[in-house]
Amino acid sequence: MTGEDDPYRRARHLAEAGRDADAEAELRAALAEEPGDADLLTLLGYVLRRRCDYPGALRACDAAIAAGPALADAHAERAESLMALVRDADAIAAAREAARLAPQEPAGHLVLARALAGAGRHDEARAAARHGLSLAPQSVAALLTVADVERRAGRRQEAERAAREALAIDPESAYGRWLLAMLDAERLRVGRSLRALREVARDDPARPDVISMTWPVRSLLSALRRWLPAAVALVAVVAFAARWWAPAAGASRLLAALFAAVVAGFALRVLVPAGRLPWRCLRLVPGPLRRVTVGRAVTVVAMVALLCAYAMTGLGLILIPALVAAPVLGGLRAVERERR
Amino acid sequence: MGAAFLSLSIVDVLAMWVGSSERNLHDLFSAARAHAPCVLFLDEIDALGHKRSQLSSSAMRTLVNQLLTELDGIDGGNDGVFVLAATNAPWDVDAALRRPGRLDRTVLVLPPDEPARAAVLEYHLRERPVAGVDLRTLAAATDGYSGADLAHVCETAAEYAMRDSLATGEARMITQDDLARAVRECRPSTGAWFATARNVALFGNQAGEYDDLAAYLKQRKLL
Repeated sequence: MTGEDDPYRRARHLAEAGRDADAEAELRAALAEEPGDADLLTLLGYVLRRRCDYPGALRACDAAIAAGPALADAHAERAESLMALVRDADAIAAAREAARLAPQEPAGHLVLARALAGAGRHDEARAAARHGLSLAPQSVAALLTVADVERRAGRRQEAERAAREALAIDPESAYGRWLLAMLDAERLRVGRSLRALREVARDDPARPDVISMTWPVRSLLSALRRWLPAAVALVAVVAFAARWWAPAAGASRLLAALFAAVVAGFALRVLVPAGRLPWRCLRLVPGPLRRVTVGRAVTVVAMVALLCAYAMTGLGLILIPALVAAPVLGGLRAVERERR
Repeated sequence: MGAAFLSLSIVDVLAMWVGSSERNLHDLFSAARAHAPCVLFLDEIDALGHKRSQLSSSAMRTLVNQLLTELDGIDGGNDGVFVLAATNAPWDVDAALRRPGRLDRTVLVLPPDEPARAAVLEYHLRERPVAGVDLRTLAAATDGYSGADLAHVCETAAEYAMRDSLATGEARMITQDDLARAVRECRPSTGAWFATARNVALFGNQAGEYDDLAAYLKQRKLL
C-alpha cells in the first residue's frame, strides 16, 4: 500500500487529523475489497484503539497477524491493545515478537519496555527502553519511553533527565510536560506540578487529563490509607493499656492529638498550594472514581474528627467507630484499584 | 446575490489529491477567485486546519501551511472570495487560522431553542401524514436535541406508524403518541459535545475566546 492515492494513506491522514470515524470507514471500505491486507488491518487496530474499542482493536490485530505473520507493526499494535486490556503477559509476548521481527526498529523495543513496565518488571523494561533509545538517540518517543519506565521504576532523576532531553528536542510535547509534572507531583512540588498540568490541559482543552489533576487529593488519601489506621490502632492500644496503667490514658490522648495535627498539617501542605483545581477536576472524573475518592475523603475526615474528639474528651468508646472506619478506608482503595 | 458556492472537506481533499494536496488546494482557491464573487465553504475545518502541534505527519502540516497561505491570498488576492468554515471542534483548529485577516470571526451555533425546535420538527414532518400533532409540546420535550436528533425523532415516529399500519393492515397517520414515543427512544446526541465543551470552557478559555460558550453552559448549569 504505497500508492499516492491509496486508502491506507488517506485513512492515516484522517486518523491523524482526529477523524477516527472517517478513518475507520475508509479502512473498512478498503478491507471489503482487500480483506487480507495486513497493513490496513493493523491501521484499523490502531484506529479502533484510539476509539477505545480495545476488543475490536485486538480482533483487527489478530486478523492482521493471520494475514501477515511477519509484520512487526501488527505485533506491536497487538501489544498496545493487550496493554489497554491489562493483559500484561500477552502484551509482553506480542511486543517481544515485534522486537524480534524488526530488531533494528526502535518501536518494537519501546512497546516492549512499556509492556514490561506495566507488569512491574522494571529492570527488563529499562533495558528494553535503553536499547530502543540506542537505535534512535534523538527520538522524542524513545526518550519519553525511557523517562516513563524510569519513573515507574522509581528512578526520578533518570526519568527527569530523559524527559528534559525529549523536551529540548520537542518543547511542545504534551506527554513530556505531563511526565515532568507528575515527577514534580511525586516530589510534592504541588504548585509547579499543577501549573504544568494546567498548561498541558490548556493546549488541548478538549481532552484534559482531569484524573492527573486530582493527584493532590488522591495522593493525600493514599498516603493516609496506611498509616492513619495504624495511628488509630496505636491510640486504641495505648488507651486500652490505661486499664492497667493509668498514665497511659493521658499518653493516648496526647498521641491522638498529635496524629490529628500531623494529618491536618500534611493536608494543608498539599491542598493549600493546590488550590481549587483538584476539587474542580474531581467533579469531572468518571463517576466511580469520584465516588470512591469522596468516600475515602469523608472516611479520613471522620477518623481525624474522632481522634480529635478522643483527645479532648478521653472517652474510649469514641475510638471504636474510628477503628471500624479503618477497613472501610482499605476497602475503598481496593474498589478504586478494581475500577481502574 | 449571485455568488458562486464551492464546498470542500478533508475527505474530498484526501480522496482526490493525496500526494499533491497543497497544489490542488491552491487550485481550488484559484477557482474560487476566478468565480468571484464566490463563497468558499470549508466543512469540518478542524480536520483540514488541525493544530499543527498535534500533527506528526509533515504532509498534513504542509497542508495547513498551504491553507494559511491561500487564506492570506498573497499570490492572487482574495477579493470577492468569502471564506466560511464550520466545525464542531474549534479548539482543534490551528490558532494561526483564526488570526485577523483569515478566519477571524467566530459564531457559536448552539442547539436549537424551543421555537427553533418546533420549526425544525414542522419542517421534517411537512411531507409526512400527521394527525393531531402538538409541536409546542414536542419542542418542550426535546431540550438539548440537535437538528439531526429532531430529524431522527421524526423518522423514528414514521417507522412506528408504518410498522403499526403493516401489522394491522390499515394505514394510519403519524400521531402525537408516535412522536412522544420516538422522543423517549431517541436521546439527544449533544451530551458528549457538551462534556467536551465544558472542559474547553474550564481549561482553554484564558483569552476569553469561549466566553459565549461558557455563558451558555453556565446558563444551562453545565459549568
